[in-house]
Amino acid sequence: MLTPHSMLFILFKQTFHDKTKMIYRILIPSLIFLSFSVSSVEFQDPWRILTNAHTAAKELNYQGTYHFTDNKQSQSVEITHALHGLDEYTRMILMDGSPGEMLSNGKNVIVYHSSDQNVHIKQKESHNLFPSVIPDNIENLKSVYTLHFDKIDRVADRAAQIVALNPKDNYRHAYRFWIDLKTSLLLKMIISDESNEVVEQAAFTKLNLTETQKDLSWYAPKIDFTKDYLNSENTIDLPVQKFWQFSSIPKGFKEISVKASRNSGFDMLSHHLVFSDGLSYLSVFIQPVQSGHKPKVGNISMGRTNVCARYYNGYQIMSVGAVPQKTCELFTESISF
Amino acid sequence: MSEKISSLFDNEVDNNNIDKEIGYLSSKKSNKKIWSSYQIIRDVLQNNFNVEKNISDKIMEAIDREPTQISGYINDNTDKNNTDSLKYWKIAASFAALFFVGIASVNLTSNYEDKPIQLVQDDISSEFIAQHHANTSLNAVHFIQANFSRQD
Repeated sequence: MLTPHSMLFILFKQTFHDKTKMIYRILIPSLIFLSFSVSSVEFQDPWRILTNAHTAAKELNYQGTYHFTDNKQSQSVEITHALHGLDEYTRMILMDGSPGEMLSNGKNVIVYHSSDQNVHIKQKESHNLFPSVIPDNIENLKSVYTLHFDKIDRVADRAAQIVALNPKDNYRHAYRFWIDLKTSLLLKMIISDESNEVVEQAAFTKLNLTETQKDLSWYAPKIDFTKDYLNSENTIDLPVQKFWQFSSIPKGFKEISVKASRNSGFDMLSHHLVFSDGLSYLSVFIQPVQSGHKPKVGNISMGRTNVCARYYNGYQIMSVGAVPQKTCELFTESISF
Repeated sequence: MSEKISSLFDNEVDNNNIDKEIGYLSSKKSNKKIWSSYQIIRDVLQNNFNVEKNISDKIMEAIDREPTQISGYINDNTDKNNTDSLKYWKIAASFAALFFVGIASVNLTSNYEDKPIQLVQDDISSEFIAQHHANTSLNAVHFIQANFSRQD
C-alpha cells in the first residue's frame, strides 16, 4: 500500500529522473556540438596557420641565426627583428663569405656589401625574405596548392608543426614549412622539385623571442673605416609602355612588377617583368637584340634556376626562375607583340 | 676618434661643446674620410640621400622615353598614299634579294646576323640573374649578393 509519503517520494524521483533525462538530452548534444565546433575552428580553415605565420614574422620581436642552403652555397644569416610602435625594423647580416648586410625599416630597405676596398650601399624595394616569405593574402595559394598537416618536429629547440604545400599542377615546386607551435613563426622552409630534390632550404639554428624592444641601437650597419662608403646609384626606372601580351600563363601566376630600364653599356630599353603565385617567382626579360649580337634560343638549368630563351620579332625574350622548366618555357613561348 | 664623430651624428654631444668639437674634428685631414662615410650612412638610413642627376643623365632619360630598336620587328606606320610609290622599289628589291639568295646558296655561306644560336650558360648575363634575385629572392643571401654582383 502506498502511503502519501511514499507517493510523494515516487513523484519526486520520477520528476528528478525526468529532469535528469532532460538535462542529459540537452547537455549531451551541446557537448557534442561544442567539441565539433572547437575542432572545426582548427580544421575548418587549416590555411589560417599560414596567415598566422605571416603575422608572426611581421609582429614578433626575435633575434637569431638561420642557415640557408641551395645547390651552390651554404650560408648563415644573423637576423634581428623588432616591431617598434607600428614600425617594423629588421637587420640581416651575412655571417660567411664577403661581408654584407641588410637593414629595413618598412619599405625603406638598405643593402650594404663589402668589396676589397669599398662598402657599397644600395637602396632597395622591400621584399619577402625568410622568415617572412608567406604572403599576406593566401587566397591565391589555395587555388594552386593543397595543404596538409604533417608531424610535429623540433627546430632550433622549439616544437614546430610541419605544413606541406603541394602543387596542384606541375608548374611550381612543393613547399614544406615548419611553424612554431607557440608563436606561429616560420622556423624552417624546404622547397623541393617534383622528384623531391631539395631546391632551397632555410632553417633557424638559434632563435630568441624577446619582449617589445625600446632600444634600437642594434639598427645600424657595422662600420669599417678602412673602406670607403659609396652609395650605389639605383637603376632609373622609366615609364612602362606595355606592348606585349601572354596567350597562356600557368594558373595562379600574376604579374607583380614591371620595370623598364636603360641597360648599362648600351642605349636600349630592357623590360623586366616579375610573376608570382605568392611563393614561386619568375622573371621575364624583354630586350631588343643589340646590333652585332646573336639572339639566343633554348633552355638550360643552372642548378635550381631554369633559364629559357627565345628570339621573337627582334627581341630577346629570357625567362629566369627557380620554377620547373615547363613553367619557364610556357612564359617564354606564350609572349607575343 | 670615430666614436666622437659618431656621437656628433647621433646628437650626443653637448650643445656648448658642439662648435669646439666640430672645429677640432674638421681640422684633422684623416677625419675627412670618416666624416664623409658617416654622412653617407646617416643620410641613407634616414632616407635623405638624393643623387642629383647631371644633364647627361637627364638627356639619356628623355631618350629612353623614345625607345629605339636596332633589329627585327618594326611597327608599320607608313602612310598608305606612299605605298604605291614604293611598289616598284619593292619589286626591284625582291629581284635583288633573289639574286643575293642565289649567290649565297652557291657559296653555301651565310652571315645572317639575326640567326639565333643555342643558349649556353656563358650567354646568360649575370645582370639578368642578379636582377632576378634582387627582385624575387626568398633569402637574404641571394638578395644581398645579387644587388652587388657587378661591383668591384
